[in-house]
Amino acid sequence: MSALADLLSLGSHGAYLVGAYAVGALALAAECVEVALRRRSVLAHLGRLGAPDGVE
Amino acid sequence: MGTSSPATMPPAHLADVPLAATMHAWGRFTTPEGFYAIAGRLIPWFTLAATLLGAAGLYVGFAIAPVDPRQGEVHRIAYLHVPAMAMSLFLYVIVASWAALGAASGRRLPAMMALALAPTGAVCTFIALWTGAIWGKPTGGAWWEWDTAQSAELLLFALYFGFLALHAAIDDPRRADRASALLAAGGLVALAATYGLLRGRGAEYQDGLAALAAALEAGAPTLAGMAMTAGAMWMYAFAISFARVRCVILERGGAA
Repeated sequence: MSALADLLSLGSHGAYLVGAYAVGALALAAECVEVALRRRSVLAHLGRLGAPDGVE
Repeated sequence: MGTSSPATMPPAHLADVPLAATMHAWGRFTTPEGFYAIAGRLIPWFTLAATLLGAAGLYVGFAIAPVDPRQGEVHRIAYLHVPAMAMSLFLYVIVASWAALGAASGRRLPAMMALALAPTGAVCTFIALWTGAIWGKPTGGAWWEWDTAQSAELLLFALYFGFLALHAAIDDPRRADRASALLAAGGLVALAATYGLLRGRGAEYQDGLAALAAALEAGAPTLAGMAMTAGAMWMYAFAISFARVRCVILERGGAA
């Protein structure tokens, strides 16, 4: 974190700034992955994986 | 959009009455089957809007907005912390409202929306808690303080967790919807009471409103950056909750 903060010239508290945005990015990315896996799982369960999307 | 399928056409006796036909068309989107399709079409647009607004907001916040004279660069955590905190509170009100509407009306879609929004609210609360702690350490000297906003956020996280855990613990979806709606409504009252009590006790914190006031004071670039990242968070919440509600609809057999 500190190295990245120094690289970006973010000052003495730069590591905190980088850390905060890293936490935010990881949390949002984890949620996206969770939804993608859930969709894949439910489509596989219904036998609709790879089928055209839409209401049948 | 292609030509209307028979499913999208209003009944013959409504076809000549424009208002009734319009109401019928809108009514389709209040069913899980209708909403599944419209949500699928809207997700890419919300994702695009979230990406563009997020990139623009961070560019303005980091490259154009001035450094805070008291806190320095670390103040730029506000561009993530304030939108996340605002979203966590807004989303809880929306979750409680959807859940209450679903329980009162017996309709399926509002309860599904509540269930789809709650994890996003919990993620926003998680981000607000962590960024608040990370912001508090260099500026206030402590990772945690039992002040109004942080205490309310912690309670909010417990409420989201309780809502989702209770729903998952009950096998019958309808019963789970009703039980979690009751919990969400009670949580709303508890949250308002906690917030009121802590504020009444004179607890002080650089909370969302204070940060917004500081942004107004700091000038247009700071405010613009914060407005854009807040907009990005809204668009993200729409996109991800629409994607999740489509999963919920499929799981409950609403669009299969």
